[in-house]
Amino acid sequence: MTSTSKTSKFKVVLLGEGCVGKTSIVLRYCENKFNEKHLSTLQASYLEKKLNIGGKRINLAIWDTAGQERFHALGPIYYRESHGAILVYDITDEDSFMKVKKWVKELRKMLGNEICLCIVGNKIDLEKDRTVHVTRAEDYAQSVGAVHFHTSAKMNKGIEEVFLNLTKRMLAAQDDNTNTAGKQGGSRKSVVIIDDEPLQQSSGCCGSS
Amino acid sequence: MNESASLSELLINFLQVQLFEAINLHDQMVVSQLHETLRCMKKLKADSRLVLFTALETDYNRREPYITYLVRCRQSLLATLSFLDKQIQRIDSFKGNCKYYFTSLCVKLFLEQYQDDVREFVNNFQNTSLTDEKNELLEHFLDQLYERISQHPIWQTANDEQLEDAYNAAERSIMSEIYIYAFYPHRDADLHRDLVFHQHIERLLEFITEDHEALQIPKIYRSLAPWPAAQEELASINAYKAPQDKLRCIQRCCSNIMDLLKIANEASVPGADDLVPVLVFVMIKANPPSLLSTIEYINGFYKNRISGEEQYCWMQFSAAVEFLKTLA
Repeated sequence: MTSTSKTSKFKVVLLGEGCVGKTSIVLRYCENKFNEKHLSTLQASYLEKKLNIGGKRINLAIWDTAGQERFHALGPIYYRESHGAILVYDITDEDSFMKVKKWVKELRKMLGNEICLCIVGNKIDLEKDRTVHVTRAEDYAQSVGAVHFHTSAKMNKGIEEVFLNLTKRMLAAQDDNTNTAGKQGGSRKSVVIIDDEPLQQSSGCCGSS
Repeated sequence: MNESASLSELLINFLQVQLFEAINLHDQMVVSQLHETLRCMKKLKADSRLVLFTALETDYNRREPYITYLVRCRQSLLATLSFLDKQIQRIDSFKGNCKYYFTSLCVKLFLEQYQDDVREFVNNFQNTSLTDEKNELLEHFLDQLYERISQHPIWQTANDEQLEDAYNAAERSIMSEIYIYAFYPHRDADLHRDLVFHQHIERLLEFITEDHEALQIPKIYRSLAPWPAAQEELASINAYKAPQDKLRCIQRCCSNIMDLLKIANEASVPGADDLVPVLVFVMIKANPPSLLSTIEYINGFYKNRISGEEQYCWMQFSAAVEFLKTLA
């Protein structure tokens, strides 16, 4: 109960291929605006959002990352010290879903269960062109301990729910941490990231794809 | 006669419309005024209404030049107001500069009193080999200094903000004293490594252009190349010695890029997909010396204190350096 008085700060990293609509999702969430008219935000790479859940104040820092395959090797620098990750794919693009799987594998390997994951199938306004099957995506999410969502940034559907769910889980994880470790983020700091490893791994990935 | 009747008809209609509007807007004051006006109007004969109407028209015409005059006055007052706002902004920025130099001067005077302590600290720092030990030594010494500043007569009546400014100035000053030992802890080895990296980027410069496939800068942004303003920001990074000033320099570079990307593509908001390739390109073009030492310097002596957007820019900067290592 002591934690109610102070603000929890969470870092959320957005991962996903280039054209899946990461930027639109975060803009919708932070500004409730979509790419068409009167945009006041100048950039969508780093945004902060203040939340209040059950009397707890939360400050989300949302970090956008470059989705191009070229920059995949920079992953460990991007998600270092993240509390949560939102992995976005385009439901009409099988490749973007494969890319999400790759990210999940890497995140779980590097950060273990320290990080809360949401997998998001975007562009449900294009349902008729869907190539990634609903059950397949949902089963996969469940098998890796992530929660699956469907969104449409264009129609502003499902976005609020993604962030709310993720935030609640990050809060729960933080409470668990403080209860078991006695000190905040105690176990997080003990994760040692060896930079060389993911570089090697990703070059392998590039070769195979 | 007929004309005056239709005119007064019009006038009454107009008043009634106004009345309904006022009722809709719940404007009680206007509602009662209009009711009264309508009551008077209905009492008047058609002839008198015409007289009233003409009188109102003459009155209105007489006032017109005055209204034009008022509008013009208002315009010039608004212009003056915005001029004054500009002046206030200028003075504020000037005030900021004065405060900055005044604080720096006070801190300089203060540090002169503790010259021997500073010299001893610099010696200790120089003789410590491990980065985290160095950092510990630095933090300990700075804490001591802050304690002394807060008790010093110069800052006896200072508020929190002034104290904070003084701490920053002291840190800046101390960092510039130890800069060489903190920035190049292994002297020649570091210099050599930086030089090798610098030459590596120079080689990249020969074939990397804004449309090179290794960067994948989105087509719509290529017309902005080579982002000279962002390059200039980055090129000046080594003119700053304190980590916080170097970081601010990086942040200015990133926001400069983002501002321009926004202009180039009105239809969308630039995200990391757009920023990263351009940042890499700008870094190759600017190629500031000692990039690798900069990374280690800030990670070693300032990392725990970076937060918010600055932290994001720092991450993108570090990532870009990592990426540059992989380019060949």
